[in-house]
This record gives sequence, structure tokens and C-alpha cells, in this order.
Amino acid sequence: MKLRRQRDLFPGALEMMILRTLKRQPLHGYALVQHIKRSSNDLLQIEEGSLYPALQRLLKEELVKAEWRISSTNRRVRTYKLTAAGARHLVHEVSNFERMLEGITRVLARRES
Amino acid sequence: MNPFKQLFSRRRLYIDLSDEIEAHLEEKIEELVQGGMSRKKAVATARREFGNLTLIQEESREVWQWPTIESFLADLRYGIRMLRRNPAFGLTAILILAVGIGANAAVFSIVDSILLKPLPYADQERLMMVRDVGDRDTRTPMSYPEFLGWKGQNQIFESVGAYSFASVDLTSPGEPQHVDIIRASAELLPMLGTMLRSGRGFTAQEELRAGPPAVIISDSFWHSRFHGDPSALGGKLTLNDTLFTIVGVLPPDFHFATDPDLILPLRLDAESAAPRFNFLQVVGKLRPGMTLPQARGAAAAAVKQVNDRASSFGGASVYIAPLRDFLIGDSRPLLVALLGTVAFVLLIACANTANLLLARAAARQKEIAIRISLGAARMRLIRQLLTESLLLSVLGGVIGLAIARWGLVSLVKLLGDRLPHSSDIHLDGYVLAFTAALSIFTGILFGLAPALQAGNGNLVDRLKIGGRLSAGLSNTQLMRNVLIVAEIAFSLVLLAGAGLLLRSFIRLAHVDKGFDPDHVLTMHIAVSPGKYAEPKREINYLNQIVESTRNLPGVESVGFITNLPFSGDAMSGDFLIQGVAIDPANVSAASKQFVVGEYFSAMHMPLIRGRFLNSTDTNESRPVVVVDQGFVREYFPHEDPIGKHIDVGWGKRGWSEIVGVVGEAREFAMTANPIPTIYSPMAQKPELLEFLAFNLAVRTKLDPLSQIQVISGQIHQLDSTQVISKARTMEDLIDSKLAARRDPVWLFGTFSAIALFLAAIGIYGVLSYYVLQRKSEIGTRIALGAQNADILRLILGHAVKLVIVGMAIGLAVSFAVVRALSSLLFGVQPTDLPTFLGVSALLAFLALVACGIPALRATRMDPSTILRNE
Repeated sequence: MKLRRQRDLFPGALEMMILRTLKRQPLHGYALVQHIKRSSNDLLQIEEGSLYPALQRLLKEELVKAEWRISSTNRRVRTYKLTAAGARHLVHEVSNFERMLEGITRVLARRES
Repeated sequence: MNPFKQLFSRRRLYIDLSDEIEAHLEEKIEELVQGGMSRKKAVATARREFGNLTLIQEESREVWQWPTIESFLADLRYGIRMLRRNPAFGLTAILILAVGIGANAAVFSIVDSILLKPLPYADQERLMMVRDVGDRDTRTPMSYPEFLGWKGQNQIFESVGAYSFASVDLTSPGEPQHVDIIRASAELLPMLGTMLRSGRGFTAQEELRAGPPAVIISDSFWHSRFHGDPSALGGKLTLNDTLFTIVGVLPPDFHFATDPDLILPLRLDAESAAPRFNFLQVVGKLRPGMTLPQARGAAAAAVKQVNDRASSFGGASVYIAPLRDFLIGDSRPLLVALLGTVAFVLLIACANTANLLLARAAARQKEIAIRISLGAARMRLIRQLLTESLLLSVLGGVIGLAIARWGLVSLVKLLGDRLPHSSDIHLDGYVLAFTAALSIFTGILFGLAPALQAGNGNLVDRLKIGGRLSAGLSNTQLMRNVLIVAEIAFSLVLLAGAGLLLRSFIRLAHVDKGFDPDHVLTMHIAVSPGKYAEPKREINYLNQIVESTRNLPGVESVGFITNLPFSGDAMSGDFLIQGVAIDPANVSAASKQFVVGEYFSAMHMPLIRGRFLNSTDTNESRPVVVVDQGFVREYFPHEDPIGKHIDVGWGKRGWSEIVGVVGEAREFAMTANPIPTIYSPMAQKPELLEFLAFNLAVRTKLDPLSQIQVISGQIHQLDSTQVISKARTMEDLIDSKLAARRDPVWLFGTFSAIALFLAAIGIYGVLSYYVLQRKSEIGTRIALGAQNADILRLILGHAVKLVIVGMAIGLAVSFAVVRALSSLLFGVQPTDLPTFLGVSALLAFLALVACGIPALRATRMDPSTILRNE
């Protein structure tokens, strides 16, 4: 069966990218996914739908808030905004991630030499 | 977010979510259209890039749920809907499971309260039964001096108590009544940790033969005789013409031995209770920290010393075992066999339900395929199917509990006599928990196969097949075949067990009893010790009863015996043979009977040699005895016993001459070989009269039951206050004894009949399905000229293979398993060939009938109809 979805890079990666993107400005789902795709230069293949379960998780943990607004293109969209808790969480996650990345990079670099 | 708010606002959240996703798709489509794509293509692209819509929605919603519980509830709702849609299927499955679960719950309640629960006594694990090891390793009660000996030591037991079974005539207050009682030493109740409801236990004074007469009454007796009046304490009961003071009332939840209404003190002294008169059940409470092996070792070392000190002439060794084991007795093998049986019934019920589910799964192929193609996760699907089967099994469990409640009553009624403290057995929390666990386990057991089956397989194939049934589901077919083979195998095991028990019972019922019970009336007559304190008077009285009864019309012969065969009562002890030295390690023992009148003729016991006892054997004539063939076989295998002398061992010592040999009456339980028996004339042992009670045996030409009034009337003319109890025919007495053997046969028979019925349904269902699957093949064959015989061969060939494999496995399992029954069998080996052949033939026959119906239906198919429908 080819029903298995492409997985995230690692658990929490998508959430982290969402939080980072929302830090700059509140966005609705569609804009959010376009933004992430664009900023990754389309290197990350993200299934558009996979954004929504992630957003629900963030909403539940109150890291983001959502409200229905009218967009600049005159659509009724649900816009997500980072909360204070979300901002703190992001800092924490990013520093974690950077440490992990550094570790991985070192291991990989050593292997090449 | 606060969880309660979540619950209320969840609907809002879901609506937001789907609105949002819809908006997302629309925005994407619009963008694509603006980019120059056709609308139709844009919709497809947007959908594709979005991913699995259903799954994403589901996952997003799950974030807000208590995931497992909520999806479980959703599955449950769906399951209930499915049940409503197909009630016939649901009802069948639930009923099958209810029978299986109910039977298990009922049997488990019994097993739980008897085998698993501790006895309701303080420190029950330290309570031990102490018994003499007698002749041929038999374990017997102890004599009074032996009991005193063990009471006197303090190395092994912290305390030692004793009790014995007896019966007394209660003449006031209220209706005269013959009551079964126990006599207990003062230590017994404190040792069991019994807190009396009111009053006190026995004192050391009351224990003595000459002490003040005291009695403790049961709670139910207190209520029935005294209406719970507290002033009953200190009141009097007239027992065997003696006034006893009520000193205590037992608590309502007290259970011990036969649950007697009255407990009397032993009222013995060393003079009145002879050595070698073994009638006391001795219970010891181990010192704290003492283990059973330690106690056994210490007792083996102490036995000689204890016996010497008490000059008790006790056995050479004692046997110590937990009181619990003693009380459970031989009900353990029966209960284990019963539990095994119902477990097999449940397995068959599971196999049947699994088969039903598989058949339904085939019909639900399309539904499942659609759900998968719409994005249902496989685990989710398996979980859903399991929830459905759990729903069935839990409903089955609920109905099963009702069945268990009803079944337990009948079970206890059937087996009650064989079970200790059977009044304590009921459905309780443990049984409820067991039933719940069993239901869930059952649901998983029978639901797993179909659920896994549904998760597998090629989606496209399934969609193509759709609702139509066709070959290619070989996996399912294989599983169904395996289930059928299992059902046949399990049924055979149960049938084999039931068959063995039945054969054993038939053997038992036709065993030579050594007497003719037909037209014999028996009644229990306990002579008032106060009125007939003088032994000569009592002998006269007994002789008068014999004489006057014999003169009644229709009466052929009349006699008294101390213990009737099949009554379960017996007295045995050691004796001496003149000229044979005593071997202390192997004391000769025999059952001892005392006779008044023509007991042997009344019972039609065959005279082998010499003469019967008769009225010329009096206290003045020379002492004589009659022995039975078993006695001769054991002690005079190569000699003529007539003229030899033995010392019966009780009462005044002295040699008695053997004057006759009679046939063996099956004195003890029918399964045991009869114990050698000595019959002495009562007139020659008057000193024993005060310890004995008698049973009258009357052989009459008339209907024995019609003579009860006449004979009682005759006796009451001699003594109007004589209490007469247990009037019944000898045949009824034997029947009540046989019932204990017959009832398990009924039980096992019933359970295997249920199993057989379930298995037959299962075979029928699978074969019908097989025929349905091959409809087009059969149609084609008929159209091409196949004869009925060919079609029958095609279908039956398939069935016969399954039946043969199932029976082969069943036979192999039976041979291994039925050994567990061996202690319940009499005169039949667990591997009895005729039984196995018989039950195999029965099963094969029923299987063929179950197969024959769908096979015959196949031959009647109309090929044109079938092929047109293809």
C-alpha cells in the first residue's frame, strides 16, 4: 500500500519551522506552507496537508493562537499568531536543534577526513 | 487549554479545521488557475499536493481527543450500528459466546471458592490434619488416647484439637428430631479463630465424660428453634435423654465439616474411649515458623514417644497434611477436569465465532476496501474490527453472567455433596473480574484472525471482487479450515472424556454389590442411652424389635447392623489372629460390624462356608464371629478359616471363633476395594452398646416404602418415644451414593453435547460457504454433465479431509489429556479403546450429517440460474 505519508525530517521539525515563520509575522495555513517551501528553496518536500495536524498540536499547547480574519486578497482565512509561550518554546527548540546540528556536523566532518 | 472547555468547544474546533482546509484548497486551486491551469486539473493537483485529506483531518482531530478512548468510542458506536444492521449474526455470535463464557464463569466460581480461596479460619495455612497411617497405607482418624498423646507434645503443634461425627436425638424443646452433630474438643473453636456470636466455648470440665453437659448451637438453629431470642443462651436442650445447657451461639458465617447445628464437647475419658478405637479427626495448628516438611520430620521422630507416653497403641506413623487439602479431598480432580472441559467449550465457541466473523468479513470486503482506499490506516481498521469483536464478547459476557448465575445453582445442586463448604459458593467480585477478563480475552482471541485478515491483501483485488464471492481468498479459506479442524479436535477431546466417564459409570452401576438391595427397607434407630443404660435391656429391646417386625405381613427377614453398606459410615480398627505375632509395622485392620437378628438373610448376602450368626449366639454362649471373603483372601489365603480364632479388638478382650464366611458387601465407596470385614453378634459385645447406633434392614415382599408406617408403628408399640430416622429403601441409599458419580457424567455429557452442537454448526457453516464460493464451478460442472455423485465427491472430499485431520489431532490430544480424569474413572483405563472408537464414530457421523446438507444442496443447483447470474 502506498498510503504512507512522507514523514517529517524529525519529530518536531515542522513545528519548529512553523513557529519560526510565525515569529516574523502572523500567517494563515496556506501562506505558511508556501512561505516554508519558498524559504527552503523547495528543498524540503512538505505535504501541504501535514501542516494542519502540526498546527492543531501547537494550538493545543497554546504556543500559537488562531483567529479568522479577512486576508489582503479578501479571503476569510484563519490566521495564526505566535504566543509568548510559543516564542520561548522556539528559542529553546532552536538552541536544542543547533546543538544537535553541530553534533551531527562534527560527526559527518570527521568521517569525511 | 482546559480539557473541559476542549470537550465543549470541540465541535467548533472541528468546523474551524475543515473550513480552514477547504479555504486552503480553494486558495491553491485559484492560484493554479491563475497560473494557467485548467480548473479540473488544478483541483486534482491541489488535492494531490495536499495529501491524504481524510487521514490529515483525522490526525488533526485526534490532537484534541483523548485519542484511544475516543476512537474506541467511535468504533463502538460503529460496532453497535453494524450489530443493529445484522441482528441475526450478532445474536448468534453473542449467544454462542454467552454459553462459553457463562459455563466458564460458573465453574470458575466453584474453583475459586474451593481451590483458590483460603479457608475462613485464622492462620489457616498452619492448620494441619493429623491422621494415623494404617494398614495398606490407609489414613484413618485417631483414637482418643492418641489424640491425648499429640495434645501432650509441644514441639510441633502450638495446639491440637479433635472432632468426631455423631448424631443425637433431640427431644425438647420442639419437635423430636434426629440431628447430625459434631463433637469437638475445647481447643477446636479457638484454634479455628471462631468468635462466638454470644456465650463462650467449652471448658476443660465440660470435656470430661462426667462433666456438666454443654452444647454450642449454630446461628441458624438459634433462629429456627429460638427465633433468635437472646435468652436461649443458658437454656436447655434434651439430647439423648440428657439435659444440655446452651453455652454459646456460633456466628452466622461459621462453616466447618458438615455445618452441624449442634456442637457437643467430646465428653470422653481414657476409660470409655478405648485405644485402637479410631474415630477422632485430629487437627493441629503448627507452631509459628514451622514448615510442613519440618513438621513431618519431627512427627515421624516423635510418633513412638507420643504413643508410649499416652499408651495409645497408635499407628507406627502419622500423616500430616494441610487441613485445606483434607477438606478439598477428591473434589480437586473433578473441578480441574470440569474447568478443562468448559475451557474447551469456550475454545470451540471462539472458533465458531471467528468463523462467523470471517464469513461476515468476506461479505464486508467491499466496505473494508473502500475504507482503506479512502485512507483508513491499517492499524485503525484492525482496531475497529477488534472493537467490534470485543463488543460481541462483552455482550456475550454479560449474558454469560446471567447463564452463570443460573448454571451455578444447578452445578452446586448437582455437585454439592462432593464439595466442601458448598453453601459458600456464589458469584463474587473475583468471578466478575474473571468474567470480564475472559470476555476481553475471548474477544481478542476470536477477533484477531478476521481483523488481521482484513488488514491484509491486495486492495485492487478486493475492489474488483467487490461483494461477489470468488476463489482467490485462499488465506481466509485456510484459516476457516484450521478453525474447523480445531473445533473437531476439541469436540473429540470432550467426547472422549464424557465417554470414559459414562463407561466408568455403567461399570460402577453394574458392579456386584455382594447383596441384593431389591425390596429392602432400612431405617436408622438410635436407642436412648438413658432409658436403656443397662446393656442387657438394650439387647432385649433390639431383639424385640426384630421379632415383632418379622411377624408383620410380607416381611421375610429382619436384622440390625451398625453401618449399612453405601451409607458412607464405617468403623474399622486392628484385631489379632490367634497364633500370629503382631507386626507393629503392619497391623492387621478390618472393618467391624455388629449384628442383631438375621441381617445376612435380610440383605440376601451369600453364605460361602459355615453358618450365619443367629439367636443362639448370646453373651452366655462361646464367642463367635463371621468374616467375609475379602477377610479370608487377606488373612487366610491358603487355609480354612472356620474354627480359627481372632480377637476383634474392641470391648472386652478375648478370642472369638470364626464360624462362617459370607460374600463381600461393598461396604465403602464403590470404587475402593472392599475392606476385610468382621461381623460380631451384638449380644456378645454388650460393653460396646453405648457407642453404637443401629440400622434396621427389613426384607419384605411388599413395596418397602409402603411399610415405613407399619414398621414404625410396630416399633412405637414397644417404645413410643423411639426416634426413627432416615427411613429409605436400600436402593435409594445406593442411588444417592451413585448420584455422586452420575452427576459428573451428566455434566461432562452436557458440556460435550454443547461442544458437539457448536462444532456441527461450525462445520455446516464452513461447508455451506465453501459450496457458495464454488457455485460457478459446480454450475459449470453440472452443465458439462457431472453426475450427483461427482458433485458430492467434490464437496464431501473437502469436508472429509478436514474431519479426518481434526479427529487425528483430537485423538492425539485426548490420549494426552484424559489421564487427568483417571482418578474419576472406575474399571476403565483412560486409554479405553472401545470408548475412543465409539466417540470417534459418533463425531464422524455428526460431521458427515453437517456436511451432507450443503453437499446435497450443491447437487440440486440449477446450472442455468447460476451461470446466468455470473
